Amino acid sequence: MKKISRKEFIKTSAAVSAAAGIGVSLFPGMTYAKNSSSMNWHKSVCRYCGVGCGVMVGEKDGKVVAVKGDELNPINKGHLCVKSLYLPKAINSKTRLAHPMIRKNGKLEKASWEEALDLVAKKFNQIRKAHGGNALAFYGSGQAETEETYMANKLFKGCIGTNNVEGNPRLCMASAVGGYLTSLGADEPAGLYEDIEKSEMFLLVGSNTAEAHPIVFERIMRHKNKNPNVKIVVIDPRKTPTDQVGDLHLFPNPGFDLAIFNAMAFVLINEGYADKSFVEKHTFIKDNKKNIHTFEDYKKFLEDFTPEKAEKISGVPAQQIIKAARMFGKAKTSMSLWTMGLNQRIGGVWANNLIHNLHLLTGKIGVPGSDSFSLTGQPNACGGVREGGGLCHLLPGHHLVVKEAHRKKVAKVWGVPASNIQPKPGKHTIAMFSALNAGEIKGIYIMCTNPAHSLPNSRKYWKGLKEQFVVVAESFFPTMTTEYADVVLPAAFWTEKEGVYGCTERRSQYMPKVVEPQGEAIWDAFILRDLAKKMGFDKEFAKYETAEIMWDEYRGLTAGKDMNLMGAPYSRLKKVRGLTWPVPTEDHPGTYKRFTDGDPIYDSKWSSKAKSDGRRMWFYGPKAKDGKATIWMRPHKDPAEVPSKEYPYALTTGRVLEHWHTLTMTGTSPQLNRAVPKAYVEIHPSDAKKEGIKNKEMVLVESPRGKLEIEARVIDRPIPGTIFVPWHWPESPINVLCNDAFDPGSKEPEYKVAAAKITKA
Amino acid sequence: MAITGVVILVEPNKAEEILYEVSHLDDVTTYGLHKENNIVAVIEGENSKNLENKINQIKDKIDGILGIFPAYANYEEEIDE
Ligand code: SF4
Repeated sequence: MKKISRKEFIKTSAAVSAAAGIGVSLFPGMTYAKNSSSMNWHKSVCRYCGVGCGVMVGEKDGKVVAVKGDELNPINKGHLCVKSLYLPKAINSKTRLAHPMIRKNGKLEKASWEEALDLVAKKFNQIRKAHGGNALAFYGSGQAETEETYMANKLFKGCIGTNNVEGNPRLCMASAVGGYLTSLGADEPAGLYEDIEKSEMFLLVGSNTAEAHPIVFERIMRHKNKNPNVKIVVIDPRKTPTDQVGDLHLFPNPGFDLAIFNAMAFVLINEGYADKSFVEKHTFIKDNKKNIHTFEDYKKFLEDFTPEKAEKISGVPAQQIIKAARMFGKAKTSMSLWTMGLNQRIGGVWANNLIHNLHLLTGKIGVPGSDSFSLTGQPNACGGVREGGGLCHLLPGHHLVVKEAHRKKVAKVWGVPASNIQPKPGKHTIAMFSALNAGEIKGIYIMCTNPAHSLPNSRKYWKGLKEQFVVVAESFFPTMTTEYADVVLPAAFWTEKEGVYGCTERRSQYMPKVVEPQGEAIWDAFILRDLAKKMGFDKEFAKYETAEIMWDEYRGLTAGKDMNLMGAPYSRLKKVRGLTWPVPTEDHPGTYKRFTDGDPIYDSKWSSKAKSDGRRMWFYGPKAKDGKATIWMRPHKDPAEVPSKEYPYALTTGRVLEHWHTLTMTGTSPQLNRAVPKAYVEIHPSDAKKEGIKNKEMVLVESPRGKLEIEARVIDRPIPGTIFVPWHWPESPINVLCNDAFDPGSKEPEYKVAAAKITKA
Repeated sequence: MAITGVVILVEPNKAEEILYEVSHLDDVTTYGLHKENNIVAVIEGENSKNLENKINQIKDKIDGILGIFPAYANYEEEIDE
């Protein structure tokens, strides 16, 4: 047999993996590429975005040295995007924090774990004693594991007695939650990614899918390639790589798209695409005051949003709106996908409602290929924070702090008096950081996130971070937030801990511990457990010796809920490529479509009722009544800041493919850094000409909140009157200029529209 | 040594032409055109420093490439650097 070199072997393995992702066996009969490697392969999940791709982690001699796409994972079928390829570099990066640090005389100095945790426990107890539990707060992350958020929830809500527990998903998807709850009565999508290959039409709104959710985009692109009749409509104020598959692109002025969705509904009804029988049987039509209306009232309401009127509001030609509506209506199945462009707005919940309206109006929901499907930014925003209850009004497993029965149930499982859990929601993110500024909150524990960089109008909130007692648990150092920390705790990173991530499509997936944590790093859930013990909650936290114990306790709280995970113990999750809830028993395969046939909750509780009523769906979620969803009559709403004479441009922000959030991870890769090394401002050529700005010249970008000097990129990606800046780089933190006005329902801030001016620097 | 296995998704009517072009690039080994418009390739570098640049260059240089999707990355000898 021919001897192959190590390099040849790796090359062959790489080729075989790539081919397997498209269902091709490169060397039939040849098995060495998979089996004879000296590498140990472990099934895991990508650390980055909410798509939730399956990755295989290659470990050799106690180090992670390779990753490959997991061919058996139904989400990505072996493919990955470029960010995830560099995960091994992030684990082994020089910026990993190796030991605890305490600020002494203004400087962070190395400390022992004992010293650091003693100090935090002492300070937190002092604050609690002197000012009450509400003077403390926890700020977590959609990148933390469910078990980690679960520990934080118990410590703060169940033991310290404050509901000041928030997480960065408030900043990215709270409006999607609000939209699902108010429209469909329950959070999270009704369908799954597998609808993509069954859909005839895609409506991509406020989403640069190609760069922010690359594997979802790949699936759409492959599907369209195979089926050229598939239509794709993009609604976004900016041209992006997503356009390469678009059949039609609508460019609204930032923040002015609500009228477009209403105008599409107008066209759908007037051209006969509405499914009146579905509407009648499955929905209520309501106005903003929750008064119920008839279909005729709704039609009348929509007369204020004819395509011509919507053109005046949005800047999108009426003919294009009509065309988009027709594409949506004509297709047998349609799928809407959206993300921050829709959510990060003061009208975010309304915008979400108006997308759901299109599906409810045409009955394009609850059937294969049709769904209103919100894309998630972070890998465990759905699992850990939405489902795990990591926000100020929630308790784990879709329970609410305002409900006495829920408080009692959760308190019993936690082994704490029900009176410990406060009946009122705590402070949402912006209120929390404002309270830190005001000195009302005096101590905060920040885990796995970088708010000094990521908050909108961030400079405003640096004051509170500077003045109050700040603890940061992080894997990387330094970050903009550790600059303000009094104590920094080194946290174990991906592959150094086990736990569960729940992605965009209701899928919970297990991640194993593959290697030992670097330096003195410890798993976040254990840091919180040990801190709790030091604070005097020894009895309450004594039992949490493993991640599995935490998961099982949490899982128990989901029994009987719409997000039932009882059928997903570690023993099963270790074998399968995730399970999509509801999954009530260990022999249940997981659910494809909610609220209809095949959904175990629908089948067991609602199916016969629905059928006797002539319905094919029953919206049984906590906010739905009589099994009905809601079509909302939401009028247009201007963004909080409209371009003016002084600030004539609309500033909008976003991600680039190569980077992730505040660069703590992707910034560790020289490759990714070189690919997009620094911030830039995209300016339309006509605006550049007007302002006398040339490509690559330095410009001052200024909003009412401050200014930044950034390099100009003169390009016809944004529409005239709009400028775009990616938000990743701490040297040019564009969030300083963003508006912190927020949606009154979801409390999600309006990152996506701020008034700005540009001048030559 | 840094090695990545990728699928290059291309416009079907330009597939053969692109396969030819890609297979003549330095440090790129192709493993055929599959399912009409998928080229399987391995891109390598002495170290990972230029891997990302190479992927971007291929995308920019050759017309008709819809996307490059990596599936495997190996840094065995580089992690300690
Ligand atoms: S699409 Fe998201 S989850 Fe998938 S590999 Fe890329 S970053 Fe990871």
